[in-house]
Amino acid sequence: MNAFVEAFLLVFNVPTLLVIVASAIFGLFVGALPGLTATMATALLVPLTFYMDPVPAIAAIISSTAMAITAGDLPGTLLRIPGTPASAAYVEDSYRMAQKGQAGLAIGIGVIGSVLGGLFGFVFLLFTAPMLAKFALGFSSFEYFWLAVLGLSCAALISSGGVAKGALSLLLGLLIAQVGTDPLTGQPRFTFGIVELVGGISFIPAMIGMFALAEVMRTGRLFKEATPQANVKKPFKGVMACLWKYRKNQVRGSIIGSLIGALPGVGGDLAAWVTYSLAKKTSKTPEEFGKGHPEGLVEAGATNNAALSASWIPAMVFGIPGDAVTAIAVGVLIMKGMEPGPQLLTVHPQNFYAVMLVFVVANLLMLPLGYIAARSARWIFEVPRALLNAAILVFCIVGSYSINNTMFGVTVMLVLGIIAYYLEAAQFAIAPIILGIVLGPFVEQNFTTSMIITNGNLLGFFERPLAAVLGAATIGIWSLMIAGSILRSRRESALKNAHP
Amino acid sequence: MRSVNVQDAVIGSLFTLLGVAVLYFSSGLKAMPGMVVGPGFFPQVTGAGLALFGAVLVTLSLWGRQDEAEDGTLTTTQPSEKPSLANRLFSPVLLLSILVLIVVMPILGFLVTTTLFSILVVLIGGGGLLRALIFSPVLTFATHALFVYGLRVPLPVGIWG
Repeated sequence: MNAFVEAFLLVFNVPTLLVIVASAIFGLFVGALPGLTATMATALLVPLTFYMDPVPAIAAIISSTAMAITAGDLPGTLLRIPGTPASAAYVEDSYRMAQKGQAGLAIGIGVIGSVLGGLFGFVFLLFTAPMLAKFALGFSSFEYFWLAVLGLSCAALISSGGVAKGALSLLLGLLIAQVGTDPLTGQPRFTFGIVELVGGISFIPAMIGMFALAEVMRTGRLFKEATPQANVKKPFKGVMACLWKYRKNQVRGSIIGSLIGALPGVGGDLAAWVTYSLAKKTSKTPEEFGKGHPEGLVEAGATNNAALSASWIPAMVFGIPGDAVTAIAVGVLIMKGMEPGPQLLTVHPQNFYAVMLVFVVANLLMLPLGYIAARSARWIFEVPRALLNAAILVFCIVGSYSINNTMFGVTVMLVLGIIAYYLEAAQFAIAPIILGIVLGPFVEQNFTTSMIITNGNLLGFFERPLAAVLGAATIGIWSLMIAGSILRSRRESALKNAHP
Repeated sequence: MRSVNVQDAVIGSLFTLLGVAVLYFSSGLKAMPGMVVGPGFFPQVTGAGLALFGAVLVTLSLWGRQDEAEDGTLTTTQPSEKPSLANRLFSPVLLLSILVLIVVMPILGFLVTTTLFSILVVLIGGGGLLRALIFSPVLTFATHALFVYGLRVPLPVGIWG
């Protein structure tokens, strides 16, 4: 009970609430802008969180992300440009609804559905995380190693681009994490005599470069013409009736979103695609999907934010993030001395409950801010892109500089931004690189510890029952994905031979 | 007829070379006496993985296999016609200007360098000279105030300090 009271005091004070509101407005603005994503909003915020207390720092990330993801439905609905990969699942329906004059309803379903889904995810997180934490207290380096590898494998294998590209993205992230001093012996690795590299490559300039700089390069002078003719007149009108009509979809979307989001390494993006297809398969009118039908929108929209909340379970309980945003958040938690893991819930439960409370506040804030955003969408879209680019880039530079107060951070941002730009143009996913950078030291430490315990015997990694299950699952997933890839390849070859 | 994906072949080859280089450099990192693993072991695993999957990517690209991109990728407003010269020059000029900024900022300081940088970014973004001249000093001084007075970050002052 004391932990709850302490958590309440940590969140409900003027500075933290101001941070939550300001971050939510920032997230809303960035998320609503076509082409700018929730990850970019988070990346730009991190340098500021460097100077905050732990709870406001995490609160800033949670509220900006939740708001940016919800606001990402605005350009999706009005311009057919999805704000997030998850909202791409239902963008066709929301856009067609807007074309039929139901933009307010489509945006309202997105906002209110997200609030309900997010609150469901919060309840799920509240009840499952402490149980999982108690269970995780019995974990040794073997279980942690396999769990981290399983999470990283899922993130790499389900990413766009295929198995080889996902694996290469992940390995590149792991390699970047190895630059610096070896944690075991203190020997410098891959520093090539550069003093600044001895401390390693900080994930903050790396992630600013990969998400923000690369995004400015990609969208630089585009997005000029397509602005809506008017603001949305009556957002949220008829939403409750629609949500009630499709209540089964709302509940199912929330449950599936929570379950998929809770899987280490999977994150929320996949969940919305799964539930949209499920809604179509089980619908009485599947032929209406993609033509402006709200059913899939309700289910996938609820999934979106439920998965977002639930993706914090592996991040908080095991320290294994589910996607790029939670990877950034885990980095911030470590930076703030709030090492994620079962101890966070058992030794410092007030911090965990404070994070939970922030989820509730951020989700509730979506209602008024989402309404205002829908009403003023036109003005948000009309912010001149040239000025916005300048502001983003200045922030990128100052943010990268301020980590160590040297221009080396800016150099890291520049180099990794260029690499990310070209990799993304070649259909490589960037999230596994960030996950690799954040989780690299964790994986290596647990791997090395396990190797020392087993005296170099790799079979020892399978001696403990849970470690064996996790190890078998990891190997099984890789085998299935590789076998699937080979089979697809053969099928394609056979088709080509049959119809040259 | 198979079409070779040149971009993937080049990137795959670069990753393979990177993997081989990592294997080479990490083989020089020796374990301490009595230890089963040294600082080079995990990098060796990573290097081998990079070389292996890089080679797989090269092989797939030579077979002419299409990528397996799922629909989860973002839709962007790619123009259907050929991009204009200004669009094509945007990224190279931007990157070059950041490179110059890295060198010049410690000499000219944050205020001067960032104002000039911001003017350039607005101009190459098609924002117009007047907007650039009004917006850039405001942006620079606001950022300076936030970081120097708000967050106590010592931004470079250069020759003015």
